[in-house]
Amino acid sequence: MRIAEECQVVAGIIPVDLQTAANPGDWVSMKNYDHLSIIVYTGVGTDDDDEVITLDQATNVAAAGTKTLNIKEIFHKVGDTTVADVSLFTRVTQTAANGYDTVAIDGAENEAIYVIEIDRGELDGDNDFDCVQVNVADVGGNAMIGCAFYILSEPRYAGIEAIGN
Amino acid sequence: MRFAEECQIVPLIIPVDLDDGANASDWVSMKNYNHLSIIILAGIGTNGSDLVITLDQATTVAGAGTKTLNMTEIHHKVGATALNAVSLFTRVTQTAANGYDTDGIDDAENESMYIIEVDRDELDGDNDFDCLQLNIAKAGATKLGGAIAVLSEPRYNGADAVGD
Repeated sequence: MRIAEECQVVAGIIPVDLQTAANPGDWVSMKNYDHLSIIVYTGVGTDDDDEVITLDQATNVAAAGTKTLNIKEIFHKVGDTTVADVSLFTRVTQTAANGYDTVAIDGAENEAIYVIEIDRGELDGDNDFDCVQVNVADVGGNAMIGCAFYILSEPRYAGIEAIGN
Repeated sequence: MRFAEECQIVPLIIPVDLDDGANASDWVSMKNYNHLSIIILAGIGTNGSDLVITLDQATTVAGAGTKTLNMTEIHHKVGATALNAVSLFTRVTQTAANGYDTDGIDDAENESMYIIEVDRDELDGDNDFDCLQLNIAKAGATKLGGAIAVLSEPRYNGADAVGD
């Protein structure tokens, strides 16, 4: 699958030290895509500086009407410092909640990849919510470099954009 | 498409300051996948810290027989400091060469994203080369970046991509 041509890959959080401040991702629009895969990717941090990931939804990419988009499923690879040795993802489910705290899987002490899969039907479409933002809270007082990507798939049309309304 | 279930996502370069040293990624095996998409995401650097991207191929994920894998095509989004304003990728082709120097598109002064698409048959399969490594040279000044591999078109469902 030629992702550059068949999907839309968008920068969510440009690589940054996640302890600098809260890390709101850019907004992406699902108006023209049925599915969104959010990939959060982090290096090793320090005990207790676990990433807390949340999602918001809005009616446009300027964040109108922002409200929580609950998370009930997350996939992760968390390496015992070395995520390269982890082959397959672990799927975690939870009661729909405002975010996912990686403390339970020691996100802070390990390299990690998280994938969150979202169908457009999970958003409040009845009220025109079709935009999504990923957020990673300030991890604490120690350095942890991380970033996030969005991959939008199942386009309504070929070659459509995902960063405008 | 549920990437976590239908593809294999593998870390290549854990987010790091690309100026800390040469950035040799982990090896991934395409033995069980027909296609590999490499995604690189980098923050703003300083004039002169343009990324130089190269690929290697080998017969094992331990790097046996390492040799160059030429690049002929790259897709990029390079933002005038703000990558989020760039909608579609720009496709660049070049005569098959050992790498891609982003100096020509002012990577250093911008946020940037690159995708390199590799089919398995681009590797030297006749001689059992089925593993691939991404390399980003030392940036020359502070520039945070990371890279992942998305392997698709699996031979089997749930195929491994980090072992031989």
